[in-house]
Amino acid sequence: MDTKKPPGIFELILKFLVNGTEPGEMLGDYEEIYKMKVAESGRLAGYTWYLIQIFRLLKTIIHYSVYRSVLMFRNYLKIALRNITKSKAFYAINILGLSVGMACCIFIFQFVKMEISYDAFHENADRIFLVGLISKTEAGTEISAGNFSPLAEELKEGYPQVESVGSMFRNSIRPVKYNNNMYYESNVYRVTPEFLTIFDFPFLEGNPATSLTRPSTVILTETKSLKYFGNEDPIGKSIRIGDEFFEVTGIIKDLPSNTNFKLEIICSWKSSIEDEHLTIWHPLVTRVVTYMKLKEGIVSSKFETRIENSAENHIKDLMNEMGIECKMFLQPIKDIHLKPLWGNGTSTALMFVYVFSAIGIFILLIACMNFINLTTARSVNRSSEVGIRKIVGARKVQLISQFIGESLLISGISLVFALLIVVLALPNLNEIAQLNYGIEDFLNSEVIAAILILTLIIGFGAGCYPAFFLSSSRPVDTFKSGRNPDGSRALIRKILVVGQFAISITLLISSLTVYRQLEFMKNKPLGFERKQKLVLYLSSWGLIEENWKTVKNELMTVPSINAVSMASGVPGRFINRLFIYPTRDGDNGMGPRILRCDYDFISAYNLEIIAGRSFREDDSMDSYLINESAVKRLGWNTPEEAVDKPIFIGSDREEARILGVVKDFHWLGLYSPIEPMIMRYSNTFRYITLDIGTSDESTIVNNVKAKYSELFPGDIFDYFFVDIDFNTQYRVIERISELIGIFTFVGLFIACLGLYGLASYTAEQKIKEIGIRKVLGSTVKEIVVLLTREFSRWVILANIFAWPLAYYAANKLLQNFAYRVEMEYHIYLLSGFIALLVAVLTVGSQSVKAATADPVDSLRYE
Amino acid sequence: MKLLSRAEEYILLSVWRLRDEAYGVSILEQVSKVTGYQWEIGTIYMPLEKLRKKGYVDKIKGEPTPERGGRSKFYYRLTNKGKKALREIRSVQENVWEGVPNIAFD
Repeated sequence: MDTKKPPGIFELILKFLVNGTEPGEMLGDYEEIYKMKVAESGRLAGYTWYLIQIFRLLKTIIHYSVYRSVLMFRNYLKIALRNITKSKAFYAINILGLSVGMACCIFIFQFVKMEISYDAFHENADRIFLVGLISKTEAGTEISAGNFSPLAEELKEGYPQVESVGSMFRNSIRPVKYNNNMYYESNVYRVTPEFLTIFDFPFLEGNPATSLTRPSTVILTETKSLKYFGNEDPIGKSIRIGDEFFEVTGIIKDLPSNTNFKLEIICSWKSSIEDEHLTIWHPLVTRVVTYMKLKEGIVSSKFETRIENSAENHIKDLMNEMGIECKMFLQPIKDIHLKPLWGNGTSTALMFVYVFSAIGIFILLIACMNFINLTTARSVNRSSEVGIRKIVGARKVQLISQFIGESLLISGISLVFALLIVVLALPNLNEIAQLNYGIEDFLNSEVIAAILILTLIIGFGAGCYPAFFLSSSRPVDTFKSGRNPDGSRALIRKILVVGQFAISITLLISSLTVYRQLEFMKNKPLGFERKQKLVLYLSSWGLIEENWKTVKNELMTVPSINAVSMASGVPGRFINRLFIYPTRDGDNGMGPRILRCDYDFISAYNLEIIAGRSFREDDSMDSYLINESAVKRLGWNTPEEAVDKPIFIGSDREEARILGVVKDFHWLGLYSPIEPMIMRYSNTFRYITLDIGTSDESTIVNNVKAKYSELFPGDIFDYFFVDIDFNTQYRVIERISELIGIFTFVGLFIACLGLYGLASYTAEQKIKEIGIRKVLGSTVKEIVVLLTREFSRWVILANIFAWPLAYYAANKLLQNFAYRVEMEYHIYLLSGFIALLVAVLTVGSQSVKAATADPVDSLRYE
Repeated sequence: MKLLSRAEEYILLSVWRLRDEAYGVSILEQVSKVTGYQWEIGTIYMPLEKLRKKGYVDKIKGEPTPERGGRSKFYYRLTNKGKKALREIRSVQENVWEGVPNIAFD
């Protein structure tokens, strides 16, 4: 082989680059010069020279091709802009529909992104866990986020796997005072110094390592600091929180909305007043939340089994005595928001994410179908342009890229409007969805990338069909007159319209179903009275026992309190279970919820006794009332049968007597089914319910508070109103209902825009036909019917597809509720009818315009 | 006559000077020699092609030679039209420079 030849690969590349022209001449010349170079200064110089030549050639080729396509591009842009200005109404409809749809998607994307990224901003979020507690008693199992107060110390000292661990305790509402201004703050927390080092809170002043090491120090968020101090320098200032003074040692930025930490005022763990609840091991004092960062490489599930029983090191005897088994578990902090292991197990946040993702996709689909539909309809008018372009030598690729480019242009314009809509609508959406997004939340790389990709996909996806269709038509056909301008495209168009309306109808049915469910839940009698009830929540058990009657009488002395009743729970709050048996020896035990209450509870909440009688003050402490569900579970046929019968309590099978039967009522609301429940006349309580006879809430709260601190000095005053507390559980469904409503409207709106565009297009196409019909004696009504009939058929057809889909969706949604509204066929008919009505009105308005036009104008030729 | 670009003008002149020996490499050397700097081989094809399309040069396929890896040389030869063009260029050039003293070289 001739070693002086240039490398084959170079020649190949060169040949490829000069593809199309005669390569022999150049290859020959290059080889000659290459050989000269090699002879002069060696192989390496030859190689280098050849490579440089290739790059030069490449540069030239790129330059020329870009230059040429820029020229073409200018032509495309000109044509596109001419088209837009020529049919403004059509493009306005197209852009409006697309931008509204895109705006919805951008918002929903941001929402879903925020929901799934809770607390992910901490650098080591993967290694950070909340240590929760499962407490098992005979009565049942409770899972809580709160844990033993001194657990953090235990983990710190006993386990080398732990990198850092800290505790957090949320105070109830506290008055905060600086100079003479007083504010009530609900997000007051106490944390241990190490707590701050686990997370990456954004510090503006101070630092996580030292800010809370001294007792009686506090860190504020930027907003709070501004609220208290204005323009003063907050550092070193002293503020009063509750009854203590704290020195400000740090300022953090306001936390983002995608965090579970609602920290606003962060107090040091130690302060001037010792709080033994923050230091003792006790199975019933588990309100401190413990967070922990594991060292790298530690497998959390293995570590979980190691710490599972760490409470036993301290209070094994006490636990055995009380019959409580405690187990620790680890909850990754990133999952807390969507998949909390505690509570009733269902996460409304997760439901929100699913519902919104589905709606987002639906709306995007409707908007895209719209776009495709309008563009294809319109493109018929451009077939002559395509024909001419083809004749003067446009290649298929060029035509395709022209049309796709045009649709990218439209989607780009829509994007601008979509962003405008997002900016304008954000305050309203925030209010409805109870979110707190700012424009700056949308300005992050992920959202921007998603928006751009979305624009590209829509532009590309929607442009594809018309592009391929038009570019593959034969030039001759495009000039033939008398052909049917629609042909096979009409079928696709029908399918798209049917699809759009099927989705709209599905959304409509779903939103009506959710709305009806909401109404159902709001109006369904719950079986108890919840208005004007102020509840005091005691910080621990044991504060009220033998002294209960004194407490009761003392509270009765507060003005405008009509009744005082005490219990171990109030409606809307979880209560424990207890094991009971219908016989002394047999099986068939069951674990109903147990409420310990005083003799006033039944009347205070207006519970209905349907057999037997209620508690009396002089009843013995082992008297029981049971509810209807418990009657059934215990095997009696009627409530009357149960009265005066014995039941056997707990593993000791202690005998007790049933005094009476309470009508079933919805203790926890309508999300969960009514459980068997028993009520025991008792004197150990946690909640005090005050019936207030006034609407002046702040006065009575202050009066009660004064009395409370007299009765329980030093205890945290924690209160709420039953109706408000109870209704918080409906807030989620209210939000869902409203938002689905809005998005349904948007979906229907976009679909109608599309229909409007199509109808006006059809009317335009048929303008001669209409003219001739009118000349021959058709009435306006007949022509309107002629034009509307076809569209109506599609919408009716859409119903058939929508109903099963809607049935599935509505079913899924309703499964979150134990008590659900009946599925009613008239919702389906109503939704179908609404869609049809809107469609007919849309098309009709266009048809009337076409039908009332003077036939002379439409028939005049040239 | 349409005016030629400078590159086209140089190349056309080179083709005339080289007579029967005008092909890619020799043209390159010639232009490089008269202009005093090294041209890149890739830059001469475009002007040559344009000259050919204007009818100023003919392109003739020669015999294969071993130093070209067995590929043919492509010779360029001035046409009558090309000669006329050169003459015109020259007169244009002289007109342009007429009366300009040699100040630049003082």
